[in-house]
Amino acid sequence: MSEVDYSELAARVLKRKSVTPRESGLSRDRGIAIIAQAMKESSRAKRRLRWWVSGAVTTAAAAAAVLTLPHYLRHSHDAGVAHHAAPAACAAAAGTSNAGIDIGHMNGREVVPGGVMQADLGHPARVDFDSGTRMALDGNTMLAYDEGATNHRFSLSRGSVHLEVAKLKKGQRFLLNTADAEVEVRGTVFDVTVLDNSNGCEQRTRVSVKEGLVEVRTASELRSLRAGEDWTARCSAVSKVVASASSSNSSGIVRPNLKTEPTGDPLAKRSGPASVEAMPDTRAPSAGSVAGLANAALGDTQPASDLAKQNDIYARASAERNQGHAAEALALYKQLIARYPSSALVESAAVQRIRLLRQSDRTEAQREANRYLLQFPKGFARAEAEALVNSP
Amino acid sequence: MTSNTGNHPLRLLRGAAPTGDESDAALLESVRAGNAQAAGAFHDRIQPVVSRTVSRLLGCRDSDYDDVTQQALIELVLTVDRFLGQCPLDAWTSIVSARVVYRHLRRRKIERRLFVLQGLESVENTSRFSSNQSLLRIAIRRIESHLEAIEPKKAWTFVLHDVHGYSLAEISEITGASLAAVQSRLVRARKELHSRIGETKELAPLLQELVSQEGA
Repeated sequence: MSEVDYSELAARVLKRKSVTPRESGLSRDRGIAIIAQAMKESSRAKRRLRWWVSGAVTTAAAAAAVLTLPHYLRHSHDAGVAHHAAPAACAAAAGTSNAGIDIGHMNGREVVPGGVMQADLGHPARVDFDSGTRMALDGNTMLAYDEGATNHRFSLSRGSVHLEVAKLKKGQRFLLNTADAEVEVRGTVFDVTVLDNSNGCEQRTRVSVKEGLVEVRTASELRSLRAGEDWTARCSAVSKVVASASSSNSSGIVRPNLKTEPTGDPLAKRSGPASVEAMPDTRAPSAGSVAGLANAALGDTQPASDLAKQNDIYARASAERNQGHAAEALALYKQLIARYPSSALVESAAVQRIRLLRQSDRTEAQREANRYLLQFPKGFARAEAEALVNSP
Repeated sequence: MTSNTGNHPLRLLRGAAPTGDESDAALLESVRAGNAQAAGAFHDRIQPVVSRTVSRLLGCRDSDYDDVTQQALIELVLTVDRFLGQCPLDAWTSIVSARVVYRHLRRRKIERRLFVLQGLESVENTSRFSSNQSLLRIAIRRIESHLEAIEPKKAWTFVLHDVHGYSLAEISEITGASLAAVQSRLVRARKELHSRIGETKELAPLLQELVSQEGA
């Protein structure tokens, strides 16, 4: 077989074609004009490209800012920076420690302090917080998120909410305000419902405990609510309900508004922003929010800061007691009694002191019981105090 | 003084004339900047290469010659930003022009034409009075008929590489195929063409005779 590569021969033959470049039909001027026009088009295209690139970069930067802003704000608060995009949240954070803001997530939207969660009639909603706390709002419920840093404070103006509160860290508090009560929780699962216009009462609060133990205390009775039990405020007890928590792992405080005499037409107090402006609430971070409305409805003319401080001391004392620090708890209860002798929590603090002293110093416990009987002759722990005094 | 400059008078040293690459770079920079003054110089610089490439690949008598030339000029301006100076301006101009011709031929679906077919008329014109040229013309026609029977992509690759001297990388740019595909097409085209010519009784000796005459 021949070793000649015919394709190579063919290529060599084809190369021998003499091709004389044809004189172009395009004149030089025409060619230059074409090139100049193409250069203009090219410059225009470059400008368009630059415009699109800058637009895309700006859009991407804006999108990145929107996506990272919540995380940035969270980290800012972690670092103790008290600035926030929302003025209401800023006010809330400024009054608390450096703890981070607990952000809720409701239907894909973030809920930050100062916001209002509203579930329309027939459309219950669910809110999951970064801390692990979960809320289920029934239909026709309005819940305002007032504070979300060290203190978690909510205001329930209408409807019903089911709460599963995550274990709080030391120093943290979780409070829920209604028109006639303030509920403080510590790792319990319970429902709070505001009953509208039932049995002649304007509003009443009902507490239904799912997990843990809640003690609800009024001027005339002591109720210990266990899992599965309900408590509903009576009309006459609205103005005087005291609750205390005594569970080691889970406890709750249901405490009423300390207002003794409601003034004016209760309905008029719910008339909106005008009422809020007339009665500014130092606790509420956002005027005009549901929290503001709820506090306005309370008609709370007492200095609100005292109430919060009383709760703080009592909560710290309860925390110390739960952790087994009896000495610290005794000191804090004593501090509360000395600093706020007219507080509704004084009786509870005194009882707690008696119970703690009974375990360590019986003589001192008997002296404390005597003082209690003198101060609260019809107190809810009268039987317990008398038994201690009469014991050898 | 110690200075003896008076013995060596200063003289004017002309700067080195810019080389082709340097002047091309300056010219291309002006075109990239959109300087309309550079349009004339750019045209004068590239037009001969464009004309030569289009003539070789498309043929001088093709009715679309002017349109393709114009399109090649526009394509050169629009793609000037992509020219990084890694090869001479002439080579880049030739590749871009060849790509324009290639696309143009692919778009023309009415008639199946190869680059190599276009120059036949010039052979006829120049070989009217020569018997050797007559043989060459016959051989070219027979080769072209074989190329027409081969798959166009393979035939184009063969013609561009073995006839017109484009490298595989350049053919890759012209045809838009990968380097491996171009190489594969070339090998297959050569093999197929060799087989076809070998099967033709008269063509193989004719080619050998023509090539031997060329060597002599």
